[in-house]
Amino acid sequence: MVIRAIAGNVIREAIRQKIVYVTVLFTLLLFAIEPSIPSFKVGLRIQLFQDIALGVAYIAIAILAIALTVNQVPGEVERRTIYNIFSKPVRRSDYLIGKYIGVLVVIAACALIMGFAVFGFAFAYFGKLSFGLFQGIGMTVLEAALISAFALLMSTFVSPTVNVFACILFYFVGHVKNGALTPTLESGGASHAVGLVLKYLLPSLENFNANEAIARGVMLKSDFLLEVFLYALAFSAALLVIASLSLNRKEL
Amino acid sequence: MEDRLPTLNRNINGVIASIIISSLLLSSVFLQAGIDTKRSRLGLMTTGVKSTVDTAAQFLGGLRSAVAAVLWIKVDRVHHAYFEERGAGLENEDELIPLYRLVTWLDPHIYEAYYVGSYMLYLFDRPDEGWKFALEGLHMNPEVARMEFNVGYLALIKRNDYKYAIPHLEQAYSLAQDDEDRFYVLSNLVVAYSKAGMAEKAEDAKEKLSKIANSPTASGENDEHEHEHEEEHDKQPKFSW
Repeated sequence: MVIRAIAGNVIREAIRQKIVYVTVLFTLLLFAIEPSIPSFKVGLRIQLFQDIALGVAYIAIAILAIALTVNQVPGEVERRTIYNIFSKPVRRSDYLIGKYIGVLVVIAACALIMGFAVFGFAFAYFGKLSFGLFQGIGMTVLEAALISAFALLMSTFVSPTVNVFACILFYFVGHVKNGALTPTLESGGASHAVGLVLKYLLPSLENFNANEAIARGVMLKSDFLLEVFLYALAFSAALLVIASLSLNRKEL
Repeated sequence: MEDRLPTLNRNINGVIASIIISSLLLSSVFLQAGIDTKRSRLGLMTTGVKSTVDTAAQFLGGLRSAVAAVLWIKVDRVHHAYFEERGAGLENEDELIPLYRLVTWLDPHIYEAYYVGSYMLYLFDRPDEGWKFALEGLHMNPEVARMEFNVGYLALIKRNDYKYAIPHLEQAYSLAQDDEDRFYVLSNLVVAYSKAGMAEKAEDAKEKLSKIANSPTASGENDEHEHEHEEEHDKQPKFSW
């Protein structure tokens, strides 16, 4: 009940934020003008369209995740509303879960709009029903869930500005770590061990990027989707547990 | 004793949280192993080419393929501009070779870049690099007929290794989508079989070739995308996809 109330409050606040509308509208506009990009061969136009559309949605949803999450805890501390909440029998972990679910609902709603838009544009421009696009958008939402969990953890002890930089760094490291660690993993000895620890300890955001395959018309199998979902769930839950510990230790 | 209770509770909570976090991270290790295998099957893992470009390209996330496609459009235009202005002359295209490499780093599934780039490398006296590039293209796109044809063609014409060429050309034939595609594969298979002394197979391929040539969808008449593999123009038929 408490979680639902907090989540509802986050959704109501998000609806009032201009960045949500601006991001979604700008993304839809980019989808609409995309076919004006020159194509090099008939038959690959749909692939190119889907690839770029999913890429744009990928970035837009990541931006939304960061923008909506970074100020959740510091904003309430600044407005002093957090003291009201914690004066009631509300557990800090419930507070964080409520915030997290609220942000995820908004992101999922925006992603769904983008998904239907790109699906509609693909059908309108090329006459093709590309149901795989929804898989791509779904994967993007999973990545956003992980970024939001990280942003929420950071928001328990840093300012929103620092949090934004931390999230950009998290995004960067999450995407490049597999490639950057390859030489380390191929070497022997201690550096190999360090590489392995980094590979598995840091979340790999590339796991959620299947745009290339989806644009080629590949439908992702359910066991792969399930594994990616569980991966996002495991890492998000771990980050939320740490966030909860951090908030519990915070003097409010 | 009562004073110590909050501290004790906090320690217990800390231990429980640590156990939960460790379990979640451990489960993610197993999940990552499964995800890696499946991503590799989907052709979504890194190309194996170690470079800062490859690592930097990952930062682009979902946009890396889009960047590759846009870059390929530019390269392809320049390539065709040379081709149209200078007839079959490709001698000034060496400056495009790094761009072919860049396109494949960004998206190894733009197989045209491997197709054209490997031939260019041969043309500019870099046969080892050209051969490696063609093999990499096949490795990254094993289901693409043109990549099988490319390796088979280069083995046959440039390396004179017809024994190596035959299985690749046969595979290209089985993957080919239509008669026009099959026509060019068969033309090369006839040569390869003949060189290998497989007269019966060469005759069989010739027969298939003439059937296609006599069919209404015979190749060569509606080529919009004339390919540039024509150093041996008169000796070998062109492969035009």
